[in-house]
Amino acid sequence: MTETTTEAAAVVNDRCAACGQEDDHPMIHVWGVWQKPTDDGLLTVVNPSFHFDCLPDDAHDLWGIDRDAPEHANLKATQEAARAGTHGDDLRAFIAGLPSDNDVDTTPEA
Amino acid sequence: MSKFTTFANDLLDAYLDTGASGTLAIGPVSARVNYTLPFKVGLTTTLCTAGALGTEFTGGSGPYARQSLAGAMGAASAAAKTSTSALTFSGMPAGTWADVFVADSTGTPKNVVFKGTPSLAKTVNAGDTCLIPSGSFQGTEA
Repeated sequence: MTETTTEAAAVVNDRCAACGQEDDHPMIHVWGVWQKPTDDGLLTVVNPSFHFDCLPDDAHDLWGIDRDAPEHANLKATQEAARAGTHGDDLRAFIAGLPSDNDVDTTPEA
Repeated sequence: MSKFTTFANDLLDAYLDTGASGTLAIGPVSARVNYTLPFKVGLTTTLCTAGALGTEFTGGSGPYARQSLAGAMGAASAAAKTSTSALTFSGMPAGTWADVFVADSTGTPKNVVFKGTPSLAKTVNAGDTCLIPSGSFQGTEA
């Protein structure tokens, strides 16, 4: 994660851009830019990572995540499990038990 | 020589075709090269170069798989074509997410375009999700 501030840019990979914690909980890694609200305004965070339960609510609309789309089913399920209190290795085991939602048919309905 | 914008848009809509099936034929009439749709997006642990694909992720609990571009991008405009929905790769294996590329769906996929340097340099642990948000994936023509 690269935070662009008035200071020199720092590169930290495993820190949650939202809560600031560094730990081994499963995360979402984003290729993109997030405008993080701070007391001093918006902080531009390039390529942020988030804990599943820390992904900002507005990210779904901002980043085109249709929570009801089959290709995003695992993200939705994992996010709900994390928000219900499942973290760390337990969340990793939960993820491992999900059916694959990779490479599903994304063709829009006519 | 420079491309007219309309032609640049046509090129982008061709090599980033968001169709779910069919074939894109490129090249002179006498030697067409066929690319099979859908085009798919993949992730690598090393940087791609013009000559070679980087090392692609494999495995994971997902398991990792290339994601279809079908319906995921808008029409090219002003010599740019941008994603309109998120691409998610769930249940990733551990590794360093370095690069992003597009290839076709032929049995031995033909590589099309890649992001390239600098590396995204994202540390990915087993079970993590990699997300390419709407608007982040963009092709441009000069």
